[in-house]
This record gives sequence, structure tokens and C-alpha cells, in this order.
Amino acid sequence: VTAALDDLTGALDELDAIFGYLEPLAAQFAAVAADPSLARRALHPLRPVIQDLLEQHRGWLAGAGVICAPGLLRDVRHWMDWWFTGPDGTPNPLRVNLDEQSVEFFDYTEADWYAVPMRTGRAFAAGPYVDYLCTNEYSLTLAVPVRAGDTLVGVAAADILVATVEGHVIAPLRAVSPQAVLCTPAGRVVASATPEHAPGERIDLATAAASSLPRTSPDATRWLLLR
Amino acid sequence: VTERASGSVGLTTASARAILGTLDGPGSRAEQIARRLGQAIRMGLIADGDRLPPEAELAAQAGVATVTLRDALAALRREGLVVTLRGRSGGTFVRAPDPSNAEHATARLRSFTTQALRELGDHRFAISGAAAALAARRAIPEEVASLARIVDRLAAAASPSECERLDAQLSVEIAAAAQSSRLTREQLLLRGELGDLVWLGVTPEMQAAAVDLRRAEVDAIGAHDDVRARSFAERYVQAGTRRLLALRLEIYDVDAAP
Repeated sequence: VTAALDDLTGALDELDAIFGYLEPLAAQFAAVAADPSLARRALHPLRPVIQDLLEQHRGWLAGAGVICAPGLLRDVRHWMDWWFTGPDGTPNPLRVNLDEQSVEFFDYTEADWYAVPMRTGRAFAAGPYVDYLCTNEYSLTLAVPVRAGDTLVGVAAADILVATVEGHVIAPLRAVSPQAVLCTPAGRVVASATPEHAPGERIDLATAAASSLPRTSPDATRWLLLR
Repeated sequence: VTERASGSVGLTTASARAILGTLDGPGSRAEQIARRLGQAIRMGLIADGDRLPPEAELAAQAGVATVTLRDALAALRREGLVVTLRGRSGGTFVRAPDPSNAEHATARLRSFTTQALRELGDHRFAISGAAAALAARRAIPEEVASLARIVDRLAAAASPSECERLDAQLSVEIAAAAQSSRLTREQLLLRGELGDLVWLGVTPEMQAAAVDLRRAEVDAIGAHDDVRARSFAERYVQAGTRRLLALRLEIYDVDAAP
């Protein structure tokens, strides 16, 4: 069981490594954002960085990009530059309505992949959730806050399909225990070794004995294990 | 990404998927795309003045060759639903007939038989009921709070088109709170079929009654009461279907009048 637990935390370490993959993108975003009169066009040099990220970690990442803090740009109040890998394997730009006058306005400041890192100043793994604005897949978003000087200017983030995570964690999870379940701190099941639960279902943590997993990085998914 | 001063990008990724996602009707691919886009423009799902994505990108979103998409756009241009402007700030722009115009709405409703409306109602009944029940089992407090915010906005909405958009968003987010990408996709497709017909001619009293039902559904989701959540969702869909049937029958009367 100890070896199986090591395998499980090893698989989660691989997932957490994505926070590290985001660092070059975050650093470039921060460098660009130091300009006080920034326009959308100034974010264009980030696109090759985003596309490289998607290409290099093709097995893990479904999408990636940067999201601007409202008011960062001088030409629009809300903006994000986001790319996702299409069915043909090439990067596609995400189109969302960021015009706050429009009733179709997508207010990303309410999404926890934006709100939590901006509020806490720390990396955050959001989801699983149905990403109906982008890939329409069941996804996680790993997000890191981006600072230019003392100011939080937005987040850099990447999407991972829950299906991808399952491929990495299900074997060690089964080896830990046939009753083992991996869930978020909110009780949402990420992967389950037992047919009693399935990804996306909710477990009432008030009545379940869940324990945290040993994590080495401060930027890590804080998922719980039930067994 | 096409960049407009407002921050709007025209046809969004999600609406392109809903509008163009399932091409399975009669006619060539170009005819099907022209029909689906035309329908979306007439329903107001793509707003007047919106710039469509570049041809190559829209073709990729629809999963067809650029030349096929070009044929579809040419057909829409002939219908006067899009115009193409050359030059630096050029592109293909939507020229929508006013979707709140009663004549257009009547024409759209006339294209449904009462049997087709009942079928559509059955489909919504199945999807919305299941989504509400599963959301009640699975939603976490943050998701319930987000649903409640949409209900508040729906209560304050001032026009039928605003009501339609918020109501559709609520249905989509309840399916997302059910953690189901399939049910979410079904809700997006249903919206593409029905558009703002559900909210046609709704009075403030009817809006208040609809808001009450939807709020009760969200409250039941928050209370993890799947039976009640499903029941309120089903009642809401059935009330909407009855209203559409009543409107459709009135159109039969008008058409039969000498």
C-alpha cells in the first residue's frame, strides 16, 4: 500500500508540475504587463509561448492562456488570450464575449480559476467542471497568479481533461484500495477506484473519513483521499 | 482572435459549436451551414453588427472546407443577413432583422406544428428534469451561488431577449452543475432550436411566475433535494410548452380568418 501511495503522489506530482510549466508564460506576461499603457496587441508575443506550451505538453494540456485583471489594458476592460487544442491537433483561439455591455458577457472574475489565485495570490487547481465555453469537456484548470512589481495583473493557466488525470491516477488508486476515492476539498470526485462513486459525483465530507495526501510543493493540488 | 473596441469577438466558441455542431439535415454542407447560421441570426443568437470570425476560422469551427463556408456566406449575403466589407476594418458582419419584431417571431413559430412543439417540449422536459435532479445531487455551494445570481438577474431583466439569454444561461449552468458535458451540450443545442420563442410576449406577471419556479428549482438544488429540483424544472418546461402551444394555435386562427 505504501508503494501504491507513492505511485499516487507521484502521479499527482506530474500534474502539479504543470504549475511549473506555466512559469515561463507567467514571466513573459509579467514582463509585458510592466508597460502602463498596455493594449491587447501587446499580448500577441505571448501566443508563441502559449502554443509551445501546448505542443510540449500535448499529453497533459488541452488548453492554455493568460487572463487579464480588469482594467489592466487601456483598450478593453476585460480580456483573455486563450488557446485550446482542436480535434485536428492544432491550436484554436477561444472566443468568448468580453463586452460587459453585452448580455452574453462572460464575467471571468466570478470563475474560481481566476478569482481564487487573484484573491489568495497563490496557485490554484479549479474543478473538475464542465468547460462549456471552450472544449465542452470535463476539465480542470490549473492557474497561477501573475505579478508585475507589487501588482497582480492577472493569471496564467492551463486546462487538463479529467480523462487525462484518470489515466494517470486510476491504477495507483486501485492499488491503494478497492474503496479508494480521490476528491477535491469540496467533495467532488476526481477519480474513483470503486463503482460506488464516479468522477463528478459529490461526497459528503462531513460523514466521510478523508485524509490529505503528502504534497511537497506549496503550489499543489490539495485533493483528499478516501479509502 | 478578432479584436473589436468593445471586447466582443462575434460568434463565440460555444455558440459556434451549438449552431454548427451537428450538421445532419437535408441539403449540401454549404446549404446546411447557411441555414443554421441564418436561423441563429434571425433568432438573435448572433447579434446585429457582430463580425463573424475570419472564413478559415469559421470553417474550422464548423468542420468544413473554407470553400464550403464561402458558399454558405454567399447564400447568406444574397438573403441580406450578412454584408462583407473590404479593407482594414473589413470582414463579414451580421445584418439581423430585429428579433423582437413580432412578425419575425410569428413566422418562426409558424414553422412549428403543435406536434413539433410538443416533441420539443418533451426533449426539454427530459434534459432539464434530469439536469436539475443530477445538479441537486452533485452541485457544490459555489455553483449553487452562481445559479442564484443568474436567477436574480432574470428577476431584474427588462426585455424578452435579456430574459431569454439569462434563462438559457441558467439552463446551461444547471446542466454544468450536474457535471454533465452531454446534458450541457443538449441545452445549448435546444437553445439554438428555440431561441427567444419561449419568452415571446411575456408580461411582467408571467416573468415573475417564471422567476418563482426557477428560484424554487435552484433552492431545491442547493438543498440537495433531487426530487423537488426535478419537479420544478419539469413544471417550468411544461408551462413554457403550454404557452407556445397557445400562441401557435392563435396563429392558426389568424391564418384561417378570411
